[in-house]
Amino acid sequence: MEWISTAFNGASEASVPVWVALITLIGTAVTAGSVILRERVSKKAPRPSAASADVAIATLDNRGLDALRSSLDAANDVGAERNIQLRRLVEAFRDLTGEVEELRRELRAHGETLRNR
Amino acid sequence: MIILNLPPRVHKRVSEWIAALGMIALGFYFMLWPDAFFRIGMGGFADISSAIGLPVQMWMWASMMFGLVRIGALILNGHRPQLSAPIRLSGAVLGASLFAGVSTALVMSIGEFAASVGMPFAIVFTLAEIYNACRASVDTDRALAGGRHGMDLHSVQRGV
Repeated sequence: MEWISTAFNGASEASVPVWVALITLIGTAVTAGSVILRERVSKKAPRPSAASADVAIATLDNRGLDALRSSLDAANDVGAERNIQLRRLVEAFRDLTGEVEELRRELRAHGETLRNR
Repeated sequence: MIILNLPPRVHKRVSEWIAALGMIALGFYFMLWPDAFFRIGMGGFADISSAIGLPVQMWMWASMMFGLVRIGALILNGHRPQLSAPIRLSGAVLGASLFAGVSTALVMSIGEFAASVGMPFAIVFTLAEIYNACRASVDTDRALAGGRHGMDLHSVQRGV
């Protein structure tokens, strides 16, 4: 395996694995760093993400739905079919929120009536 | 027929679990056969430990400790991503380095000994660790970005 030592500029056979380990360490760290950078660059374009959908679903209020709606509006790179599906989902949640509000109002009114009796 | 049903958190990061267990197994290997450091190609690691005045067993302890810490981080992963993701990332980077060194040592011992059957495994582990590092780096970035913006996705999902 002399060629490996030669490739490492005549390093002793014992030190070659250490050099390889060091180079791999630096290379893997640089690769991981570049993956992070790529992720950050791709994040700059606003698009509906799992996080924004989760926020909207979890909070189930108008503010969350509006945030999801605006991110859907800003999305350019999402397929039309998926975009339509997400819009329908948002509308369904809006209807649901409305129904919950209506039920709450009815219950409150019913409670008032009972209290007055 | 389901033979082994792994929880989702395990099978999504199965390569990280295997690599972490590999690090622990490597530590046990060094513990049982300390002569391995004096085989062709591994002497450099023994030289480093003697140069910094530590016994050669430091590699054994380091390998086992990092393996255990990674397992801990993988178990903790969903609950404390800000802590566990950077540990997973550093463990994967160190693991890639360790397995690359072992692979090279095994390649270099060809000629003196018959080609080791562990060599292809060490090379595959190195590549898996590079993949793990890329995956963990994305998780780290997301976890730290969540922390910077004061938003914890899990607490949002729970409605807290």
